[in-house]
Amino acid sequence: MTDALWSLIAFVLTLAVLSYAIGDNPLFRIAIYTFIGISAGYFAAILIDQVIIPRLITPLLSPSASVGLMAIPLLLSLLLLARLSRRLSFLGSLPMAFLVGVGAAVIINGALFGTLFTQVRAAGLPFTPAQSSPSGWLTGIVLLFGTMTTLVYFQFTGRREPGKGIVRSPWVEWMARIGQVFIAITLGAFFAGVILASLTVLIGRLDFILQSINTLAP
Amino acid sequence: MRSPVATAIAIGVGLIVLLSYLFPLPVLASIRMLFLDWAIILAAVAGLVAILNLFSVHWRKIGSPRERDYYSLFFILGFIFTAILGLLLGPTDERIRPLITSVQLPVEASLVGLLTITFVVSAVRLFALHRSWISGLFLASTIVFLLVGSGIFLTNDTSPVIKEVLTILNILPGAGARGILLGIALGSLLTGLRILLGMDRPYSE
Amino acid sequence: MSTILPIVAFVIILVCAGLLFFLTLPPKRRPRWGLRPITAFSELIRSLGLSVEEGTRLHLTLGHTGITQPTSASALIGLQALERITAVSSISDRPPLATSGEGSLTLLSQSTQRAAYRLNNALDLYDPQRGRLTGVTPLSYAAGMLPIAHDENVSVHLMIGHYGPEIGLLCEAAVRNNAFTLAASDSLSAQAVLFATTKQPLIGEELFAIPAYLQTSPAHVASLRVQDLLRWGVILALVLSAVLGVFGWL
Repeated sequence: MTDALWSLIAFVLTLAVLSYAIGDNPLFRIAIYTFIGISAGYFAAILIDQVIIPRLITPLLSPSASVGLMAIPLLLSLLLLARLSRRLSFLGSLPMAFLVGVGAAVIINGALFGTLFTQVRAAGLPFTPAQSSPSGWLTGIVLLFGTMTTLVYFQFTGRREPGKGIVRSPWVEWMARIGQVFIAITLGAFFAGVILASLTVLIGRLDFILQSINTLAP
Repeated sequence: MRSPVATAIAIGVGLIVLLSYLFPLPVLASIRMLFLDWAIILAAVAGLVAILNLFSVHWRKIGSPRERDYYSLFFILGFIFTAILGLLLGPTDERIRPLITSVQLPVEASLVGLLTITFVVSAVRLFALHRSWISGLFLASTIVFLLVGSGIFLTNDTSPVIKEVLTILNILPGAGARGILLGIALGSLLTGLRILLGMDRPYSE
Repeated sequence: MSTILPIVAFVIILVCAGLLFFLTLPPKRRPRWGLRPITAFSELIRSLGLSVEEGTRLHLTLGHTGITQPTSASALIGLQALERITAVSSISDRPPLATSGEGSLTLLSQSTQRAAYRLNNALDLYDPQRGRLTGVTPLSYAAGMLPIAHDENVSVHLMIGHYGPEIGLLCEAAVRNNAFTLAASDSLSAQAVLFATTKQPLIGEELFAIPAYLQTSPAHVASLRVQDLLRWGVILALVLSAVLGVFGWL
């Protein structure tokens, strides 16, 4: 009985959300407000139960823990809670500065070691003797040329020419044009991937609707 | 200077964490682990504060005559019910699972389904948005990769020529993607640096 | 990790920092270089002016990445744009609204708006609820923006941050409500969706040009100049990598 009730709820919510395809309507609004409320409530419970209690409260209450060290995140957390008060919200800038500082270092590390170095190295791999074959070289050359022209496309600065404004040199413009071709092909390919992935989910939903009608219909 | 103490904290913490990535000394590594641990706690507290803020937005919408939105009541009810249940039983309790499987998952899957319709409609009206050869190429690429992705060329009797063409075709997006990713990495690097140099201070009030 | 890479990284960081400082200094004479025109930005500036004049709302959304994630650079750019936009439209009848799908981003959007109001000597007009979390999962975040698009008389949507294809929901709502949309993301799948669904998508690293084109500060223009210099360094490194590969030294 309970399972049937939950299935009915899932069925109604599915129809309510899909009804947005026709236009914004009350059923859709009810479905998404309920969904946002439930996911926010669940997430709040997870934050308290799986992060704040085990990582902050428990170490503070534990006699063996280095309470002194945990006093800093506790203080910063209290300062963050001051954001709930309009008058004291300025105190929250200190913990936010801490987070932004950590974030900046993580960004730089990710950009250099996660992307720049790995991608530059990957660009040379098709040319290595281990992979040397006519098709390997062709792959390498196309990838290298496409990557370079794509990078050139984004060149923001140009020379100030009287009467013409800011212009890039003709050969940069030429390479940028080729880069645009690679960008369009790339975005088209990604768009196709996104459509195929979402289409699979849509088919799953339509299948669920048909199954539910079969089950729920007397 | 705006918020000198906060700026000093951001620069100091950022530099220590960055140096720990560059020079793997044990003392720097342990400080980094400590800072990252604190960052997880602070991000969770920030998440809670923001959720309470979201709750207060909906609460105000019910009460305010100017911005009244009765649908906010569904948010409030859903939130209170799930949060209380989650805190009392624990978020991993079996009795909470139906809220996820019968509310969250169907709504999320249906929203993704809605996106399919949006994407197809957008592809059809693309030329109304951008009338350029780039749009034509984008659309052609989309159609070609939809066909490739659908697997219609992956049959036993596909000719070797088509297979070779498909191999080359699959390289092209890789080149553009690599160029875009490298560019984004350059932009990210400088964005991070501006924070560490105190040029950007999004935390200051 | 190779032992040479951290040293190379350190040198790159030092060189970039030095260049940033040097290029931020006010030039003695008008520089011979400038930023190429990008249509999306001139359209944005026009739409911002119209929005303030007509008393319609401006909505900026920052994505759903955490501030300590490697993908948060895009959100930091969104915050720079928010500061600039709040500064120019804070006295409007309908002040700008910032949304996000992550707690720390929400708090930063509130700080950014508050700072802009304070600099404009209009702190009494600041409302913390103009920096909002709309949902905690990517899809609830996207769904939470739909009522804003439909109900809040928004004429300009700026989407600057890290998000996925779910942003298509907001793009479609913006089209239905005839709102101007400028969108940029660091995610490739989101960029593909934005290209198909918005009139003014910014592709790839054009995202990082937003503060410079909105004339936020000389540091942002300098940053873009350094980015352009680095670009040629990367192109050189790509060629070098291929040469090293040929000789089997990679």
